[in-house]
Amino acid sequence: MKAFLWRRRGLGLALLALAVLPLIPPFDAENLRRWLVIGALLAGWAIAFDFTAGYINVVNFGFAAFAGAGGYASALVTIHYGLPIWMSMFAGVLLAGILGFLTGVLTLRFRGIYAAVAAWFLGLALLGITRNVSPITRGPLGLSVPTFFTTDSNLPYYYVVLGMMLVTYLVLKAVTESRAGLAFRAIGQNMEAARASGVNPTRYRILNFTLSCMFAGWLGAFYAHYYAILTPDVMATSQTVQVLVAAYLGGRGSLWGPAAAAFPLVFSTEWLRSNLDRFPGLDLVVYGLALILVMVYYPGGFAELVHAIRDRGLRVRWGRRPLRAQPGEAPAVLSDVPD
Amino acid sequence: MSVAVQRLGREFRSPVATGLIVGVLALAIFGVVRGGTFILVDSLVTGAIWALVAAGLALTFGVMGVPNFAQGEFFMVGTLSGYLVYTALSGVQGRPYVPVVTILMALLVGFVLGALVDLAVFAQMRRRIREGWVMNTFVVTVGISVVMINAHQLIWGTDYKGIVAYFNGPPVHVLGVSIALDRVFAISVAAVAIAGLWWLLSYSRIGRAIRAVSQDEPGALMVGINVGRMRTLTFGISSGLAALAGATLLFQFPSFPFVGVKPLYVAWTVVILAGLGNVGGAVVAGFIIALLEANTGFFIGSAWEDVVPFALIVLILAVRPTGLFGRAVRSVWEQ
Amino acid sequence: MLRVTELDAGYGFLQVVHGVNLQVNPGELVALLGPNGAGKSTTLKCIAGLLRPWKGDIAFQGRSIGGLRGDRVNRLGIGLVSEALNLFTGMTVYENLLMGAYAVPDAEKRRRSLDFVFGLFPRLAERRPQLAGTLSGGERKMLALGRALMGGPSLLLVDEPSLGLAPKLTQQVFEALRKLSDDGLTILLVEQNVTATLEMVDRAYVLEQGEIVLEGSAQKLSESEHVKNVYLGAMA
Repeated sequence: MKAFLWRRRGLGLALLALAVLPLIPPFDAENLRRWLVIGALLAGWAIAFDFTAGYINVVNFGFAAFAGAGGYASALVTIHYGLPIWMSMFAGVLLAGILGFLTGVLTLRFRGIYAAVAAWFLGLALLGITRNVSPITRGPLGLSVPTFFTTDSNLPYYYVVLGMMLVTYLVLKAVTESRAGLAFRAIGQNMEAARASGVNPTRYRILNFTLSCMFAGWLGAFYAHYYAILTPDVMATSQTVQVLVAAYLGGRGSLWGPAAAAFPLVFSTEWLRSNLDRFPGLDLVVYGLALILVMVYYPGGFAELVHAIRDRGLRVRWGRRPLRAQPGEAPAVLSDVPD
Repeated sequence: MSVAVQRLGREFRSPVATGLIVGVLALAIFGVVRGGTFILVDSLVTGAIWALVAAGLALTFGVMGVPNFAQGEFFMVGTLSGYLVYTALSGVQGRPYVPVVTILMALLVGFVLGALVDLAVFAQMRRRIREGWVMNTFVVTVGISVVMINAHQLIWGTDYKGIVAYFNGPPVHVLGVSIALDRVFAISVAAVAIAGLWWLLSYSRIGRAIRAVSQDEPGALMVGINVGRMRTLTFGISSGLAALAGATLLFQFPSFPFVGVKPLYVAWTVVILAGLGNVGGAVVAGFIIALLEANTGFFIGSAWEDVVPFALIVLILAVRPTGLFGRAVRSVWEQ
Repeated sequence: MLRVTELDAGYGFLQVVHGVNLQVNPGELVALLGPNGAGKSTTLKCIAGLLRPWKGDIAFQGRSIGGLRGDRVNRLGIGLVSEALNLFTGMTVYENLLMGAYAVPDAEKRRRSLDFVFGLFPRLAERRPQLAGTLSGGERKMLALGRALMGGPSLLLVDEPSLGLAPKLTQQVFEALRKLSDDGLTILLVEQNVTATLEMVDRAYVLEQGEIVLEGSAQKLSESEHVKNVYLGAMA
């Protein structure tokens, strides 16, 4: 038990810090606490996104639509059936999960790019549908959603979403450390080897995708009951891009990296937006560039940086040397074709 | 010439494809009968332009294996260059030539920018990345898209920068429909560009080299083709085409940061319908999608104009991801 | 013309070629023999610029070419017929041949090369407008060889010319190679078919498990005990 906790000390410390943060100045100001809420929400989403992108190597490019669907489902169930919010959130989980499962079944038989594009277009279709079925969703006018608490303070919301983020992490982390998780990794890296070991790639991919969407929907439900208003724009591709940036900058395949990256991302975005509003769009230019640079030169992201420092001190290797291959290094084939 | 037919014949062999073509023709006839030739003409013009953007996208995927999420942004670059050049030249005499110069400048800007992006980003990735090329480049193009959209916003603002028209004159009358001069211009440009692209790929040395790279990369190396340079060139062509499309449609799509969003979706819809990587198919599919959109807009309502193609694409991806004309999709088992 | 010195190469963590030394003089027809997986193709790929060597040097006409990219190697005058042929299946026979002369700027020279190739392989001339993907195995091999010749190389590398061919076609291909060599072209080929090869080439090296174990004239090798026991016996 002690060993288990000691190994998780990083996580424990981080969690403690996050829990205490909103009580310490300057974070006890409501606007900063709001940033913390948004940060934790993005962190949860980034974890769910990374579960798919980092393990089975499929970019769920319609992620925001699944999250939004969860939000709408939860909101509508609360409004029309009067259930307590924590119960109707499961409606969100259910709807998002079903949509994810269907998408997965339809497209995960094929190469990842088709699943990614299918998810993207499904998201766009869902967005359009949500916009058009105004009688149900109130479309662009916005759906008014009941909130968790009656207080104006962000503090209780923060602890709720922090808890949800923690649950998301723990559950998905546990799955990645199970036999299913091994299968995911095998599929993500070497399909042939996975198949030879008796793994059915499609089935595991669907499992992974569905789980990820379920958590997306659950957190989407939080979003609905926090912001108190829902518009179809919550499903927009740009929302998925935000989650994607957090995941890739944080370090694909680590689960904790994306969560860690989410907070600074949110804080800097919000700060830039409120202080440098003479330069609209600057924050996004910076993130776009950061994403490109990370993808090209340091694909492991923040998580890999941390591991490298931990293992080798600060002598970190930047990029991959495109030089003469040494025995034992990755192949240096002069054309891109495998042999 | 017979080679082209031979190749075309191979690609249309599928009964699904033939069935769909027939279905589309039926749709076109239906639309014309119920709604008037206006729909047909409208589709032709829009279709030709979408075909341009989509052809570039197909080219990039076929030759470089890059699913370009930023293709719409090059369209945006085209609208921006078009606007800037046209307003700068607005005092100049020689009316008919000003629009032509404008779009040619946009083509050039798109080409150069595309080539630079390849050199700065994809060439670097080619040297470093071994696995997951398609997914990783997709994410990178998302980053490129974000940078381009917001750079536009940062430097030129979010205002709509448009022009009234390239050509001020009475509309032309064809088949009982009156078409604005600018639309005639647009479809002419598209026709010339598509023909030019076809000629380039089929009969020029460079075009053959590009095809060689997409068909067999070690083979291309073996015959002395500088593969990296061909890829840079290809991306430049692809971006140039998108920019050309943007400048040509400036009268319809004023320039602003998000103007590339719709062309992006449409181009992707077209390319999936045609089959990823199939350039000729993209041209045909461009018209199909335009026809579909026009019919939907006219009969069901413009709010649903966007949803139907998207739903269609999800269906296609589920049932026949190779598209109408594409080569067989490798299943998960064969990655 | 070609000198390979202490070549080490492999894939990933696996070293396939260990300290290989070989040499090809102008006008010679030399073979690199050995069983499957010995590292013959790997060696050839390093020379042709499709694979980066780990260690060692490759010199062509006095100039070091190890690590140069494939297209640069081609433009220096080395042609390759790979094991997989790497034909452009979506292009016609004519287009494939034309692509072979991609790096040849002189149109007249290209035309002469084309005539030469069609003369050498009349079957290809018959199939001129046909798509390469629709050709038979033997025709594809001829096309790959023809394409490599279109570049007017001073050194021709051929990887397993007899692979996948019926004996009669193998005979044809070998005769063509012998004729090319007699006319002055320098050729290095890699083969598993020891008997037929030793009858045709000037000199040969035997590669086993990535190391050269024997070298010498074709005559000497066909009389060697080792070769007779390991290769010729099984081929009886």
